[in-house]
Amino acid sequence: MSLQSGETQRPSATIEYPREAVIHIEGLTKSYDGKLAVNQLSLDLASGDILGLVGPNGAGKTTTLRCIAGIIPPTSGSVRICGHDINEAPVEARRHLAFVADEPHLFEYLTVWDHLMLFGRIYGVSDVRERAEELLLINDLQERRTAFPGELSRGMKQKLVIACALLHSPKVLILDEPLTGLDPGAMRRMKRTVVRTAAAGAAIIVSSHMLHLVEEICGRIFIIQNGRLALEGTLDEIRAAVPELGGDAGLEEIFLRATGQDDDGDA
Amino acid sequence: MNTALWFLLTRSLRGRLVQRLRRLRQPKYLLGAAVGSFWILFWVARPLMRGNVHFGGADFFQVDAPMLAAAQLGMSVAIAAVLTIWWLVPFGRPALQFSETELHMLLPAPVSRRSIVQYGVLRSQPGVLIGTSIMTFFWARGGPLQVVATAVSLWMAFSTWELHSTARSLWLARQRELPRADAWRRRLVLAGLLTLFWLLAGVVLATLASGLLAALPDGMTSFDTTTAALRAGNVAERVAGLAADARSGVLGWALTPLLILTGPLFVAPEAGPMAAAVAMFAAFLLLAAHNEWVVRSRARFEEAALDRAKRENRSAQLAARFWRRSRRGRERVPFPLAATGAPEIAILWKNLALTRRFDWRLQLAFAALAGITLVAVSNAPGMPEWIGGLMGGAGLATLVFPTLTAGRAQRNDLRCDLLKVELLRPWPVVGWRLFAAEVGAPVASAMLNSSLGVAILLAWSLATDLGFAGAAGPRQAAAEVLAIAPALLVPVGIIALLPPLAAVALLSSCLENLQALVLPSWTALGLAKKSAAANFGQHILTFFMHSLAMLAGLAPAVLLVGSILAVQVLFWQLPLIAWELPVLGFLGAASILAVCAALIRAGGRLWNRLDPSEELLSGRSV
Repeated sequence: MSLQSGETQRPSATIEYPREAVIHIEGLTKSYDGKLAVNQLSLDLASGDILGLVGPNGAGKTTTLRCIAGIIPPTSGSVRICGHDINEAPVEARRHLAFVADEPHLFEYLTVWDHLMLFGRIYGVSDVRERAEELLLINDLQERRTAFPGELSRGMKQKLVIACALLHSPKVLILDEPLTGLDPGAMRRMKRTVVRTAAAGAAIIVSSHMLHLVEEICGRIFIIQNGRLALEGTLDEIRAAVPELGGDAGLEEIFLRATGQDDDGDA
Repeated sequence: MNTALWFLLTRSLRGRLVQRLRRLRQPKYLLGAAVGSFWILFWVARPLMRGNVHFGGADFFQVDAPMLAAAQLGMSVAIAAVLTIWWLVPFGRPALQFSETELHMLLPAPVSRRSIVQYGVLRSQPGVLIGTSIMTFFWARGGPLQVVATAVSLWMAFSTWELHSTARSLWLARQRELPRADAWRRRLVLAGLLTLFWLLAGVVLATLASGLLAALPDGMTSFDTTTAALRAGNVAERVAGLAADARSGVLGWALTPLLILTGPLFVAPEAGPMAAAVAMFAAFLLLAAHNEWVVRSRARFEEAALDRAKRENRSAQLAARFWRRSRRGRERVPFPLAATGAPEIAILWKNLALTRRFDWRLQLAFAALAGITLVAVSNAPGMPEWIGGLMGGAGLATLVFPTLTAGRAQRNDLRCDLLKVELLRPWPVVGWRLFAAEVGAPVASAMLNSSLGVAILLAWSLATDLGFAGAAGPRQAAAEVLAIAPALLVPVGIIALLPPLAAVALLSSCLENLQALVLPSWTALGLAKKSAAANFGQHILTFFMHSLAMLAGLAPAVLLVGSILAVQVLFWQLPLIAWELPVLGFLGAASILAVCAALIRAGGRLWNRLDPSEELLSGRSV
């Protein structure tokens, strides 16, 4: 992985990429009332990469993603998006960013089409109508363009949130539990969308409990527990980090072992 | 009732109470509750304890027994009329109230149907008890024992009414289950009985009405002469006599259940405690009979109750009001939004869509039309002249009021958006510009509302010029003082007022949005408004804070304009003329806008530094 000039290269957990890092996180720490939710996380992600962020409930995944997206300020550490510090130069950083929360938050009083027009104007998408039509078609929402969010199922809301996120073709896409509430067909389309978006040059972070999804689409995996990095690397690399599981161990086994939830011994 | 259901019922109530009390551990709720309670004690309990409040109580009921009996008959006939419509018109669904969770939990459980229905009946009791408390406050009379007796009587009446409503809706549900012929037969029998009742009652009531008309004395030309004539003619006694006759006949017999229902509320004080006890016992038996009627019903309430719970769940979401919009209404937007340009305009567009989807030009046209119509109607032939003249004052109030209350009345700003922080925060908009965009929508809404005032004032001025509005005198006097042609007074006044009023609206909106950022837990966030005592107290406190801050924000403008006027009139001894009003208005507006600019900067910094709490991020109002 290539880091930006002047940045200190982390020793063992870093992977060399030939491309430039569009997400650079260093020493990210977030505490609530003295309790550490995220503890000294560092990572770099280049354009085209898909990182799978996994961890047990309460491990700090959502807090990490919210810090990266600039929704909550970190207690210490820095997050740079396309070279811009998310806290020092938030507007420049956010222009390249899209965040999809685990709960599809939408404006109750705006229709599906209104949402797309709003996001288009916020991000200055000049061909917003064409892009919106395209995204409605991809997400099977073209028949629901005048519907309000309250009239949509959870899955449809999720599709709308993702359509809004992709409208301005972000260079960094952060997805928190993107498949929740989607039907199998929509899941497949979502996976394709993520892969295509990455192929088009975006760096993507996907947080999910669906380990098969992470295993399938993510080139790199980042396992965190109690806010700390437990394992990081490609599937082969993290497999190698737990040799006792064997060379064909799946992500689920690795995850359970890395997070101490492996109860085989108790059986 | 099944002990498990009883446990569920009592535990639910206890849990709700404990939850409310636990909130008081947090100072924000404790302070709010203390202020709310003090407010209630000061305005409600204190006059009550001092014996100052007798709305429908002692003063009203200082009538003798025959008049009370007549009033009871009147109320019973009125209830009978309502019930007739209720039973004849087959609207409504089963009234048993359950939450979706309760239905999913109770219906598959090994619990008797009677117990579940009884549980559903008891579930409506909190509402009944609140209604009883409020009515007792207005109705109660005499000492503590009598107040308790009144409360019990009202509770029995309301509970019986609630049960009757439930029984009727279950009867309707049963009708739907029966074969069509059976259902129609039952409905015809019911209609026949009710027709028979009203035929009999109609004869008696017609006799009663003719007796009443005959009893009315002459000379009832005004309120005073009517009262005197009624007193002189002993009309009350004659009415009571006629009512007693009606009650002793077939009408009294037919109305027996309703007379029992209302009986405890109309016991004359001189009838003694035994009469009151008998009336209450009879009412209790009626209540018990209704309860049996409901719990023994064979109607299938489950599906309808589940449907009702789902519908209530949906309509409880305030967003449901948007769903009723037509397809055309949904496609309407406050103004066309270009694809590129300042993102703040998009935020304003979005916030305006929350309250109004009409094009602003259309709204101005509506306001103009409404203003002209109001002035035309108030000056129509036959209307008293003062109504036409009053329209000037009404127009001024309509112009000013929406701007003064812009921040308090409109909530289409950060107060709704803070709960969407996860959506807004990643937007590439600088903090102060986002804050400025957010505070803009309430101002735009307030100014559009004020446009009705502008329309009324202009129409009124024109009507005065044409000799219709009957206010030429005062306007002429004001025009002479300000040295301007009367026809120009109102337009110039509006031009002078609009800038400072818009600035005032902006100040109000800025203050409310700052409060949302500084004290989110003291602000009603989202579309919902909260009504608990603690929230009530918080609302009172924030209202005072807002009022004080408004005064402080307006002080520089008042000082500036006041100083100019003082120098001009007192030192230079130059008269105030109308043409300088717009200049003064502009200067006042500029002072207020300077304060607003500082507030917007502060709001932007707060937004940049905001660390949203978990409550905000989870989308719940704090």
